[in-house]
Amino acid sequence: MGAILDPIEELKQHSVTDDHFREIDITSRLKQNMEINPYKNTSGYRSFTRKTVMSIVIPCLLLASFTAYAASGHIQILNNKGEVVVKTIDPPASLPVKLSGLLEEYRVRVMSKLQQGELAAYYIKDDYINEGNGYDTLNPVKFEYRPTDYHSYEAFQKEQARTSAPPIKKPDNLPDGVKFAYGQVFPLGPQLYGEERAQYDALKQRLMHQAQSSTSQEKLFVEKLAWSKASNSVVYLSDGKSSTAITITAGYGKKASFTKFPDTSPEKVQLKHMEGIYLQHEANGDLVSWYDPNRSIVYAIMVNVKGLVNKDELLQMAESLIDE
Amino acid sequence: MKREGEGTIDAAVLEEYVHQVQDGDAEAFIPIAREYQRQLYIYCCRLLGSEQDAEDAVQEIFLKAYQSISGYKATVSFNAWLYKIAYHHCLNLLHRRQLSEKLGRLLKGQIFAESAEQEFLRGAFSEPLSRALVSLPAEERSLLVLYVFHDKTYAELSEIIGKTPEAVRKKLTRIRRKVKETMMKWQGEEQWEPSLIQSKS
Repeated sequence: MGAILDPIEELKQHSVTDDHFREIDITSRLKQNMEINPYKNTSGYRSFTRKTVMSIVIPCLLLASFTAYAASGHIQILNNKGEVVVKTIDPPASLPVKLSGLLEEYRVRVMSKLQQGELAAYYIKDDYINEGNGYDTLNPVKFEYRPTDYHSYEAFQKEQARTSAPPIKKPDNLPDGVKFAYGQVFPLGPQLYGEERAQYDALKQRLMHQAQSSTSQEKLFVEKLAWSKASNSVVYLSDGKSSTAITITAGYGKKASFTKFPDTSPEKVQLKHMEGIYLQHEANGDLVSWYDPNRSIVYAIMVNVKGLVNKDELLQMAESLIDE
Repeated sequence: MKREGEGTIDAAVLEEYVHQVQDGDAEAFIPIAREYQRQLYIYCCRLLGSEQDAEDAVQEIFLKAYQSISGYKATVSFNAWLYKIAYHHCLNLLHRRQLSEKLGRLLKGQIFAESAEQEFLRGAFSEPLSRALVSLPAEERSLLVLYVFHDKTYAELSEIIGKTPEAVRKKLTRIRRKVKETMMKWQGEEQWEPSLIQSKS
């Protein structure tokens, strides 16, 4: 007869140990934030000796504040509760070529089954993809969507309203030759948290059951999903040669991250009454992003054609999208 | 005074750092942060299911702790006081997630580096326990994680959640029973092997 396991020890066996979690060091970011949000007491206030901290002016109407954690070269925007809402991050680790190649093959197959505006969930019955690749950040249930392209701004605006998509105004201050090409909205998928988690679990159960009971060689199992609410909007601007010369995106959420590649320096910029992040990157194109705290929407404009707009033009375009 | 890294400061030294911060020496807060950042990070990872969210949460928790440190009195342990802030901060985040319908991201591409798939931290818990934890209200999930994985005593938990130790004990008994029932439903359906969580440098 085996030893009876203590119930707490039994639960611990269902979790990875603390060693599995990576090391972090938030102290340099924390120091920067403590400079902006000091502790005060009646006997006086002493702060850190200023080293390379950026001098930060905080206008009285500011809803978000900026901090730079200079050691890493990253920037983040905090809202007025001290919560991170937009930040730059290091490039994520790449998936192995074999894995990314396989995933792309399946993605293309799923996409070929979709009409415009259709959303699908799919499961790939493949042990390498689901278990053996050593990358645990992929869920077994994946999603793909074929967007509808709205070539008139009016039609796009109507679709934004119909699906409660995060709004993108028709941009002003466009450089010569640049104009609206088309817009898209992207659906809100099943959530992994809260009450909707049960829907996700049921979907996963159905797909995996289908896969397990299948006797064919087929590895791809797809289910189309109904949707009515959008989570993202995208506008593409054309320069006369490329219909995706500039991309404007809007997404509901409480935060967003942008990859900061080595040898690039993000900057804080002032966009009317808001602060934003400006990233200049030779290969990936310039980007400006800001967070609208009233509607919990992250906006970004990406320039995909090198030299199409300069920094001032990009910031003016951004300001034309911001309501006073 | 010797400033040391994480896990090495004894209680008396820690209390001295706290007093220094309360007297206005901001720099004295940094060794406190260094002492607790990893254990808070692991707690937030287990609760929030996302390395990025956990790292942001730890920073936000320390900022709140720093700003409210004048309210700390040595009648409770600093550990319990700090975890109380962490507990409520994570609860707030979880409640906002549950109320918000804005987290689904299907737009692929450079800008949204964190898709829902990437945020879900698979591998931290087995499938049966993961399902059981997700089915619990956020408060109960947090209490169980603190008790089982962070070795908090009933006394410490009572400071953190503001109930008597006896009430904490009863609550945990109920939670553990619920978790056991849910796990038994799913156990045996999937084999789980702990696997490495993808780490970033």
